[in-house]
Amino acid sequence: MSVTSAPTAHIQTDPVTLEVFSNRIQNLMKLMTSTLENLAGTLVGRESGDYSTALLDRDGNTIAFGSMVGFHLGHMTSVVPWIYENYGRDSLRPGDMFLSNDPYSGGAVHSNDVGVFAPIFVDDELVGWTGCDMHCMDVGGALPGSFVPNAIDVVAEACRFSPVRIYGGGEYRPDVVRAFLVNTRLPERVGQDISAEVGANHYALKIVEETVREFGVEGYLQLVEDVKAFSEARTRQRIEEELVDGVYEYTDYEEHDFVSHTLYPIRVRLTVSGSELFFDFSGTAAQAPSLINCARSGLKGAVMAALLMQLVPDIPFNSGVMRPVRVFSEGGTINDCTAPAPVSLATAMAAWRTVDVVSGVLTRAVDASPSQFLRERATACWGGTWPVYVLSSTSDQYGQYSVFLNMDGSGEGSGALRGVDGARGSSVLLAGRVPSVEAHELTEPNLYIARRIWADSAGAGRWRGGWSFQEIVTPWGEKAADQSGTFCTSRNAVPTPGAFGGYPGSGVFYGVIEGADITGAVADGRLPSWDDLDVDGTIEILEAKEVWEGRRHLRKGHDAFVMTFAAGGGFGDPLERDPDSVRADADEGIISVEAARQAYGVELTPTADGTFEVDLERVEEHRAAVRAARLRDAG
Amino acid sequence: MEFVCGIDIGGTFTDLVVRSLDDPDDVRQYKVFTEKDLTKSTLSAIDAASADFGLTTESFLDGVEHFFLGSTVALNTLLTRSGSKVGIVTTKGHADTYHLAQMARGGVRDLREAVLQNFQPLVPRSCIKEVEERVDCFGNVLVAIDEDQVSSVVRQLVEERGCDALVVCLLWSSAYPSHEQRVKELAHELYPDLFVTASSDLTRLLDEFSRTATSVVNAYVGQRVQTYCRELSTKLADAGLRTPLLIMQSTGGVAPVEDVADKAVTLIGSGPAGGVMAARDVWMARDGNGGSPADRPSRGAVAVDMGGTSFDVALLPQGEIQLTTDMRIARHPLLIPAIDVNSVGAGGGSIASVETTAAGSILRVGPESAGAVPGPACYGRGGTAPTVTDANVVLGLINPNYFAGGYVTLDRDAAAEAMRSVAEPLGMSIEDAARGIVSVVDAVMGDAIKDVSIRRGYDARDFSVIAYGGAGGLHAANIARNLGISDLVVPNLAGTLSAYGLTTADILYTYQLTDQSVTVAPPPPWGTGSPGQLFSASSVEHIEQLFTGIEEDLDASLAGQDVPPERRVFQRSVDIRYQGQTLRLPVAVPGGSLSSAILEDAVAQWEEKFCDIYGAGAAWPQGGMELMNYYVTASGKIGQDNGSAPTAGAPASRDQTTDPVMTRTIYLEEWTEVPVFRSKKLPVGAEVIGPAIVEDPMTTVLLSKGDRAAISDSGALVIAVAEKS
Repeated sequence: MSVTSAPTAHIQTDPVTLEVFSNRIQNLMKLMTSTLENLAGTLVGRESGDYSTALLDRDGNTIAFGSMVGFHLGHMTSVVPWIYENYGRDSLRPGDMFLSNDPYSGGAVHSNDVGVFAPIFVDDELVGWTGCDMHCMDVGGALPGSFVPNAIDVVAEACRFSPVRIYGGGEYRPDVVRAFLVNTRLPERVGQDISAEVGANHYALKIVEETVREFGVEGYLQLVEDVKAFSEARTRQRIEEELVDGVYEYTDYEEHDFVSHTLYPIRVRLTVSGSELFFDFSGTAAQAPSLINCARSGLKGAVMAALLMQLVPDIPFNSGVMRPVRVFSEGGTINDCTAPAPVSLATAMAAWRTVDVVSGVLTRAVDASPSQFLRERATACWGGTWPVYVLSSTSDQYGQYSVFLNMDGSGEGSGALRGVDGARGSSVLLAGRVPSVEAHELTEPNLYIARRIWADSAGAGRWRGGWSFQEIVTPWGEKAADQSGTFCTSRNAVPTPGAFGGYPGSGVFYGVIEGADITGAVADGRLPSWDDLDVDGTIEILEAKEVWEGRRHLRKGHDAFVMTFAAGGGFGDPLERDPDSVRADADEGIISVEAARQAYGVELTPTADGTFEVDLERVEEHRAAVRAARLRDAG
Repeated sequence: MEFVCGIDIGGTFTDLVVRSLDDPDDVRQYKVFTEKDLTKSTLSAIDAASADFGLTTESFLDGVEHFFLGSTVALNTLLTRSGSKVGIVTTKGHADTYHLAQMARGGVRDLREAVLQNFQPLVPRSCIKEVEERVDCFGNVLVAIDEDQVSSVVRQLVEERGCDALVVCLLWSSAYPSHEQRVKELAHELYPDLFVTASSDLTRLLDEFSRTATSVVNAYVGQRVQTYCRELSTKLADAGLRTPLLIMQSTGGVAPVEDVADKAVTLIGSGPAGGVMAARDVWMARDGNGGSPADRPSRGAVAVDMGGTSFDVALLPQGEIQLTTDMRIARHPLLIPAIDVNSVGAGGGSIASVETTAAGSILRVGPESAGAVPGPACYGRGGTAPTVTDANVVLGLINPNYFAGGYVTLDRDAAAEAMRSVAEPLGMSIEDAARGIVSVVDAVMGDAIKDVSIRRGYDARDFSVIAYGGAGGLHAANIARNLGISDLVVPNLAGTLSAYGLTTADILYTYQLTDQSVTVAPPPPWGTGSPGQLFSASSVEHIEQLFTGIEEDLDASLAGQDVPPERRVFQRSVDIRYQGQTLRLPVAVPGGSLSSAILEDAVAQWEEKFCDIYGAGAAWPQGGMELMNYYVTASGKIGQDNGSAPTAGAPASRDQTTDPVMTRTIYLEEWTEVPVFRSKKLPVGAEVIGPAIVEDPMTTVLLSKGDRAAISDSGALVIAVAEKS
């Protein structure tokens, strides 16, 4: 039983069968991810796409990966080795299925990532594993939603299960599932999430068995080795032929650890050498005292996430891609923290930021590439955060105790890429969409007063970042009570970076308008507009991490809550942007006249029909003045 | 003489199928080039038919009882972005709903592709206006509608912005459509001729963005469709047609053109519908001579259409069309029912390439396609990339001089030359490379069939494959064999099958709405739900009202088309789900008076279906269930599938023979000489045993060793596929 093939392994399978198998396992991933989307118990899975699926080999290495939450790859490849080490391979039986959500036994970026893994046996022979992962809205712990800014360790954050059988030899174990669910605030929903994962795995068990019957055990195991060998060889080829040897560096920052306004640099030094990549995170800040850390599996997963979207999006992703890649970290750092450091917001903070950092350094490398394919994948930062707002209420619109995680932060503006403006996009990491207002109002006790494109949020650049949006809500419903909550943002002190002279996107914030009196306005037969609420004048901007539980409330129909989400960074100097594109953005209301003047050096004149004209003759004059001012300001 | 006509107006050809009502076996087909003036090509096809029947055009048209139309005008208007200038009226605070488009990335992993493939709105922000009004999630009015403001914004959109079509989509019109309808009335008071779509005219399913997008597409293509239908109707009436044109919708049902003009979005997915309806007809007719449906050889049909760029699969369990409300066209979500078609990028034009690495190589086929221009290398129109069609030519499977009825002569040397770019890096002969390409594309198509059957909870082996489209016959037997499917039919008229399918359709109207008020309590110990008490009397009454409310509206539509009451058939279904899910898995509910027992039976059926699809372990009744979306389809049976449906009969050929017309050397595992038959010359009941090729002008069927094909009464090739050795 070989553990891995040597890097120079020669593919044994013929080129036709290899493609047939490669297509089949990609289809399996689509089938599994759509199962999770269809069957998930909450908006987190079914709308935002915060889940993933993987087919693994006998040792737990990836053969195929579904979804876009790339950093799940880190722990999805750690669970099986953990099981072998602690329970032994011989303990496995056909029909076993494991649940796992402990960040430190390899099973999760944060405890909300509840995984379900099953060994695949055919005629009593272990041929591989299937696994799913789903963000469950609540997994217990000190605060609703299980994001706990004031937790000093992982134990205080949430209920954690190291890998445990929920099926043993094909028998369902309701006692174990009940024991897990009794720890959550949403047992019915989380139970549904887990069942969805069981459903997705059932497809892998079935299709892999059929495939093994078609090719035989030996043939299947060879195919598994060969898809990895192929992806490895393609990746090495890409690195060797399309990246320029050298050292590339990039730094980005995580911010605000609940205790203080500390900035945490995450540094990476990428060495491209021959067909190999070496990511060295030395110099990264020491771990934080709070939930913004991520453990080693988050770091590993973040590196994979950036690679699969930017360097090898056209190569079937599996562990072969990672064989030419080495990652070093000193440990005890914000993105490689030591147990029992808290990690409950690892996904939105250190792990996500690590994706940004790796994407940032890859952008430097691909921009220097002789390959057009790679140069076109040089990008400014995408959104780069996922602000979190968990509300809890003793009574929702139906009179039930309610916990709700707002995932709208997954709707970010994308970064601009070389040659194209950024777009609206459901984040760099999540495949799904922002739930509709109707889906929100059906499931949570809120009234969505307004949702709008956030003008001037997009990072300015020769290619503009993707804009983002803002919304205002108030607790609502005859039976509904006031709400308390937990609020976590980042990309506030250090907004989403631009690239190569592009400007950053707008800083993200949450805010409260006390005494907005929506109830009174509705009684008068109107709902206030964004402008009526005088948001700029009355808003109280929240700290980047706040815990209200038991101390403060959003009063029903009385206080309004304002959310803003991350926009994409710009690419290249905005003074080089085509003035007509600047005008078109102003016509669409994406940028203001002031931004056109200040950032782009383009004077716009309003016309009678509300659109703008640009005096092309004067553009260079203005731009020269802006350049002169830059020099002056630079001292 | 009386006739039924089906005309399918495609980009290249206009196909006409004429069935004589006097002689069910008399089905004739005509093919003309589509001209820029579509009525001209329509009329020239009709002229050809009239002459063939020995009638004047006028007396031919006078004898037409039903005239069916299939057209891609709606889809083309959307894809070429050549529709109306649309304005949107929406709820205050939510003008940006359409542009935010739920900020969806759409599952595209590659960063650059995610940006390039992003949603492209059809309406600029400046043409979207808000009105004061608000409804909550229970359908209660929070803020009444400001009618003066409505009139003012409608005027602005029309007069200042120049909009010539209007969409009204308000929050929670799924629960309370009256505000939308009031805006529509006010707009019509101001501008009686303005094209106005209220989202609730089309659908009342939850999700304001998708309803807006559906309505925008409707308004965007509506006027083009109206003009087109009106012109065609007028010209045909002038020529002597006395019956209204019936146009094919995305659901596989037809509707009179004047009736769908304001619901043009229902025509967007009509392209594949004709073929699927024909496949359904072919399968339904397979009950032996006068036998019962129980004699059919399988649990249903898989309709597969392999063209130049895509492979479309539709599953028909027991011959029933499966509808979905999850259709997306060019990232526009459409919340209206359409036949559930799984389309994958595999066809004759799919391009093959080799990726070579130090460790070895892989042979990739598609999804890139050479399309029609430049097309496969063998077309000789400048294409040099090796395609699936080139592979088939190299293997000797396609007769270069008998392709597409001889319209195109194929260049075998060019195909061989193109194949070299795949063969050389693989170190293979060009024949083996070609065989590899065919194997890969067969597997892709097989996976697509398997995917459809798994997602619907069926085993593909229990189904018959009905294969059509230009490239279908060459691949179908091997695809079926790979999947363990033994029953395959390649219908006659494969080249005009969509036009034939039109003539088998019924009038169909559909409507659907979301209502989330009925839940089913979980079983103990999680809740209090127990069999016999799952639905309260008030829930039963509420559900009854939802269904009958829709049925009354649809019944009025059928009555408006003079469909007699005994020919109106209503089909109810409802989405049930475990609470919290987004799953849309409708289950049928019997018509007539409802009871708790009937609804509990539906729940039980749903749970069984759920477990068939996802496995028992995926069920989670502990969280309770909810009823969510209610659907009604209303058909007006206009005679096609009452009694014995005539299938596409083969006009008897004068020189029938069971002998091959020639032999050809083709490459299977080695170069082999096989007999070639002309399907038109084979008499009913004739049997052909593979290896062999059966050709007709529009399609070629490959039978491998052990495959046994018989000519059915309708002239179709019915193939018993040999098992995989």
